[in-house]
Amino acid sequence: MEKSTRFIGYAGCALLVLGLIGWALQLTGGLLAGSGMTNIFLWGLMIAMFAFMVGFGAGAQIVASAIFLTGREELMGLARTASAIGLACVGAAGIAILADLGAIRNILFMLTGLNFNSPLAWDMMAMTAFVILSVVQLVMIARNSSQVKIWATLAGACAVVLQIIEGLLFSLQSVHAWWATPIMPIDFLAVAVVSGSALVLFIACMKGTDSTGLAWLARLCAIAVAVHLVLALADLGLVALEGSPVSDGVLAAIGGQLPLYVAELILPAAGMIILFATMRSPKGTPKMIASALIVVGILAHRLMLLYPAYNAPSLYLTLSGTDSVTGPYPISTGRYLDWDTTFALGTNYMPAPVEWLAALLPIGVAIVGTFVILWAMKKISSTATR
Amino acid sequence: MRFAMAIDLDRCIGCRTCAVICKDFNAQPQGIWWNRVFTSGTPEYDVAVKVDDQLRMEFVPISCQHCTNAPCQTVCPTQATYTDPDTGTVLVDYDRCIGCRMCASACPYGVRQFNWGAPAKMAGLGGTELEYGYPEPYHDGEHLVYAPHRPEGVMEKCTFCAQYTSQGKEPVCCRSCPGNARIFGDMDDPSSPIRAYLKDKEPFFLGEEYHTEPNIYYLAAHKVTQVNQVPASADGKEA
Repeated sequence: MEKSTRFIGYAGCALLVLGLIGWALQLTGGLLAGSGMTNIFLWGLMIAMFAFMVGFGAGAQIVASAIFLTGREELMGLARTASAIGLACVGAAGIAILADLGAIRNILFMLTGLNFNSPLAWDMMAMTAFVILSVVQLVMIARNSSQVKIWATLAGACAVVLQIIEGLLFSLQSVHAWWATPIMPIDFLAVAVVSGSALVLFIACMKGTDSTGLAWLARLCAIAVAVHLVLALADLGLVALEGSPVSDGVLAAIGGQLPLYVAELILPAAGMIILFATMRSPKGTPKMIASALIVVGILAHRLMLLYPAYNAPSLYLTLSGTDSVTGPYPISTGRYLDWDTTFALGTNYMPAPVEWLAALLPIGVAIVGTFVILWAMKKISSTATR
Repeated sequence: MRFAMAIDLDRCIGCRTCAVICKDFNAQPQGIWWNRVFTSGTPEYDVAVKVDDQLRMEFVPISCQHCTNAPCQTVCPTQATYTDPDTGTVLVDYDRCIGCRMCASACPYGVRQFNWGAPAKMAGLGGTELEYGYPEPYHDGEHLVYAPHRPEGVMEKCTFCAQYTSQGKEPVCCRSCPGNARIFGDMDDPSSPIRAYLKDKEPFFLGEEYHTEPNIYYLAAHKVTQVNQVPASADGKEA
């Protein structure tokens, strides 16, 4: 094993342990009490991390499926790694959801009392289907089976469905103007391709993949970023043109997090420009920098999924006998004991230290999971060739 | 049977008795409020707004709207939130709730309250803790919908005082309102107090744009109880 690969493995183990400590602190210290969330800002860093990881998982699988289907020999080794990353990241996203639950002791009702109308139920079913198809595909790859293309296609299609469902999880909540657009599920898909291709490109550069393969991945990633940015700006345009009190609230919430919003647009845009400019260059360093910029931009995008949604009030009242919309209505924060604030229109969410610590868990699971899956594939492969 | 409540804004004096007694009788932990009353037009309580050179102050009590098309119920993955088929009341089974908070995220009214940590009892004088509220857990069939000591990490909200309505009593907010602004009853019963009260009146609903079909009927304020002309020089707040 290369030195750098070994380092990533050790780092993954360290993140996993730190994340487990964070989660344990949240559970033993009064569930989510050590968080910055409120009854207004209901989902925080862990849900952003969930959306981040599931995007990487589905995206890596979509890239792997595309490589298998187009038969790009120079990238076949990477496709194998990408498939393993896909499974590990989706598993990590599942862990993120579990770690964010307030009453995990009741989790069995997700099996015995599932509400099929709930987008969370669709999500669980899509993730389970993805995991099953992904495992079969990985076994087929390890055995060098002739059916790899079939299973890669099925796993890729499931990854697409998974991302659309993730988008629906948010966009079906009509109460949040920031989410309730038909663009959201399509953008989730675009972001998955952005995330997956940026990650695979980064690994390809590390491994010294030949320039044809790098150019193909760079083009895929740059085009996906372009599509995502168009969709993100269209989303902003829709809100800006609506002119309702609710949409004005969303714009104000975006303004309140302007550095983060600028980062979500500028960083992927810069990465895209670098990729288009250096596409045919055999040098890997600019592409690695571009990939890193894009990944950080996508993390900012996932965080900005939450701020304009939760800090924009949804309920505006009208004075009796007038058409005047008089303003939003305060909500009980549920955090009086911590902050002495009983009612508020919005809360300035900042993840607490224990939340940052717990958020390392899914990253650790994804890294360690990838190593374990690749090791298992090697074992299956060597058994099959005996 | 379909339980519903009418809230007559002409009768509401903004005393917040409903919010406090709701908290008390339902043993809501510190920081949790099922029921809240604010002045329309301002995020602060008890502040007037200027409309047509007049100062106006209108109180709007808000708690769970017990929607017929409840988004919280649709999104709940474990069916912890459900509509009681006997009364049409939207309830939460504490024993089934996984604490995902999707229901609160989907509710347009901001009425769902989450126990972020171990529910804290109300602090009394001299370091004591107060015990208050209906003393026994209440089960709707097999569902635990009220417990004087809340489980950790679950969602809670107004139940129309299920522990009292099951005994034929009205919710405590209705019983305690000094202005009789809240009228409770069965909308399916033509002789019920709420049907009689709403007769020939035109109620409105909160957040109609969300198509939730609430069962809380609001009656707009029409009475002018006091004329407060704003001097032209005053820097009043426009509604």
